[in-house]
Amino acid sequence: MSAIRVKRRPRSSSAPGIGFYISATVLVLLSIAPILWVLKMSLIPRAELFASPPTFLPQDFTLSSYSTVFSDPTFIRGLFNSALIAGVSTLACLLLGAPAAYAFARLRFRFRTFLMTGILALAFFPAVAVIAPLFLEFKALDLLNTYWAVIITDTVFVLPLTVWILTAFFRQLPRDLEDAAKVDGATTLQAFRHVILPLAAPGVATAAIIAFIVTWNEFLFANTFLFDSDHWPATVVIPNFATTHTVEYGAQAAAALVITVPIALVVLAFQRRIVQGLTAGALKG
Amino acid sequence: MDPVSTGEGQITRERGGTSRREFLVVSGGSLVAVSLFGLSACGGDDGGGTASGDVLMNLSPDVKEIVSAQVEAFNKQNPDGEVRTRITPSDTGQAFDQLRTQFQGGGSDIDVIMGDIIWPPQFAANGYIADLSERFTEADREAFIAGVITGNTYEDEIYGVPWFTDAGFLYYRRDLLEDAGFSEPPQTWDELREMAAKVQQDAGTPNGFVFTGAQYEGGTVLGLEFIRTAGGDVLDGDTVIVDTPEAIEGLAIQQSLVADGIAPEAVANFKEEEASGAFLRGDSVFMRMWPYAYDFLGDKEQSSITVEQVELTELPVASEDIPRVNVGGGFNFFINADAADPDAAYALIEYLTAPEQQKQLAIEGAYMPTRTELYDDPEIIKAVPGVRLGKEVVPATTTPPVSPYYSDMSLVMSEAFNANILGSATPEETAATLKSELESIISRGG
Repeated sequence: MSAIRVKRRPRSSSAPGIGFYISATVLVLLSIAPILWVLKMSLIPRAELFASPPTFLPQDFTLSSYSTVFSDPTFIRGLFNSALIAGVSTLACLLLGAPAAYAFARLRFRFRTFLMTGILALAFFPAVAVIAPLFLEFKALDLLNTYWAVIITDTVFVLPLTVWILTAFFRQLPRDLEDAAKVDGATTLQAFRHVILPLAAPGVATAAIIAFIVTWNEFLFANTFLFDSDHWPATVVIPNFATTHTVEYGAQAAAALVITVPIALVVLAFQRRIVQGLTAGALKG
Repeated sequence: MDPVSTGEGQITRERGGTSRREFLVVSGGSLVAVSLFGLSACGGDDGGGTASGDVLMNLSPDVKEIVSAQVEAFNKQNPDGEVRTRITPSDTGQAFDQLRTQFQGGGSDIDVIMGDIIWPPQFAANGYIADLSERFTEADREAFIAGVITGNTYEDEIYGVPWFTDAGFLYYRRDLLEDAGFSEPPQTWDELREMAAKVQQDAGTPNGFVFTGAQYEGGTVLGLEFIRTAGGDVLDGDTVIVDTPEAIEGLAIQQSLVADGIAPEAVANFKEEEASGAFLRGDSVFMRMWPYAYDFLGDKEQSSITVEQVELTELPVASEDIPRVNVGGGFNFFINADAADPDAAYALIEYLTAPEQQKQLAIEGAYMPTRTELYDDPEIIKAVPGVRLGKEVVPATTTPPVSPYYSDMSLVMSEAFNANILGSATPEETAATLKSELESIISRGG
């Protein structure tokens, strides 16, 4: 057995060729180019922003855009609001999503597939189509212009994704684990809490990160339900680096980078786990 | 349950007339307007606090600093109630959508609304804002510029008190014109074309004329200006008159300026930022712009030309016998129809639009006053170029068509005017298409 495994394959298929490096470079450049452009916009003075023809490489550096952004109390408050909204929504998604996913993964009940599909369909529902009724609903409940309006909506829209990721992950864990726990006298719920959940930590982390990214970047609901700049998350504050006639493209670019960087760092740090979590169960079909 | 039930019947009836289609309108790319729930929604329950003199006012971030200080002073003078402010999006269209969404969802808690000149008919037709005819008497109105009073008038009643105004100016490079042998700015579009072409050829200035032609509200305003400076118009009451020879001539002037290379084709994507950028870099002989850009002249960060090289004047017209005209806007105060304490709300408006406060806004923020007397104030004239040159330009300011369906119309118009710049249809075709589109907006009621 092992002898076969070790046997050398032809070199051409194991070591990446020049084509690989070229296509990898192109791919990376394509995906990173917009971010580099925004970075450039955030670092050059206003005159250069509007230079015609535009400069490809920055000619002049200034940090004034960043000082505009960081000296704006509304934006600082916006970062806090974003963290609050995304944090609470993520927590709610996990608290509601993990048990649901476990049920889908382990229990047999009627309409299971139908429900799974239904939940997924919810995630694909266009947000603009429900925003009008939601607005009225929140108005009736007196939740407009409160964090809750956005947290509730965000949770509902991100929950399906959480459930799917976690279901796939739970399915992958051997059933013997719970059986063993149950032999020792644990109930299904206890087995879930004490045995499955700790083992599923990578999956839970993936779901949490993805939920956090989606809610952190959310704009439409926050922009519609929150009237008061005290409540605005950073995404809603960014377009307001402008006046009636002018747009502070530099400050907007700087602000956009400021809110992207923490997310990028988290993703890089947990990169392996996210991939693991996303591909969970992929091979079992 | 509520003190405004009589008013509410009115609101309900009028809203019932709105069409179902408006159920969901996505505008400005992101904001969603909710409509048509007037029948079930209670308009009175959210009228902003108790009737104790408390007032909530919205403010755009631009004017936050100056007005916050004024509001603080007002609060000191009136200890009975408290005025609070809420910052709304700096994009006027977005601020409008947000407010409309709240009104259509049953009401807004903002008592005093600071808003654009195009808002009154749209809000008044739906009963969202209060008729101010009793408070803002005809005698009071005489102290204000006539054009902005018209913009705040809907069906013979006045709904807003003008606060500051904006007008379209022709910026020109005095130095370049002099070098080319022209001592006076152009009076007609033909003269502008001739002067621009000569300077472009002599001095190598890349652009003759730049303006805001992108597909947005500013593009609508420019198209209207071309039509009106040719003696035409878009609406006469409820009648669409955009297919008259005068209006078509206006469209033809706009199109040919681009086709002949006087204005770059890029104006089809220009908003204020891009247009003023091109001018401030010294890349254009003429520019149609609001007075605000004058402040940036000589600012080394943004401008390579100085105040000495530039002068402002009235927009040209198609022929000498057409009266000078420009399309402007500016901001006004309205009162929410459901405001808890309209007296306190109006007291605040009176205070903020008083000569003293307008003067402060003009000097500190370069906003042009709406009171005619202030155009003779030497301190303001010194501080605000728009006011210095505004003696002729401001009285010639007209507002966009007064219509409750203006937002829908503006979308259609900006599209048509933008296509006109790009030359994708003849002015006659554009006028005909625009006419039928505007007529269908009017006939289906928005």
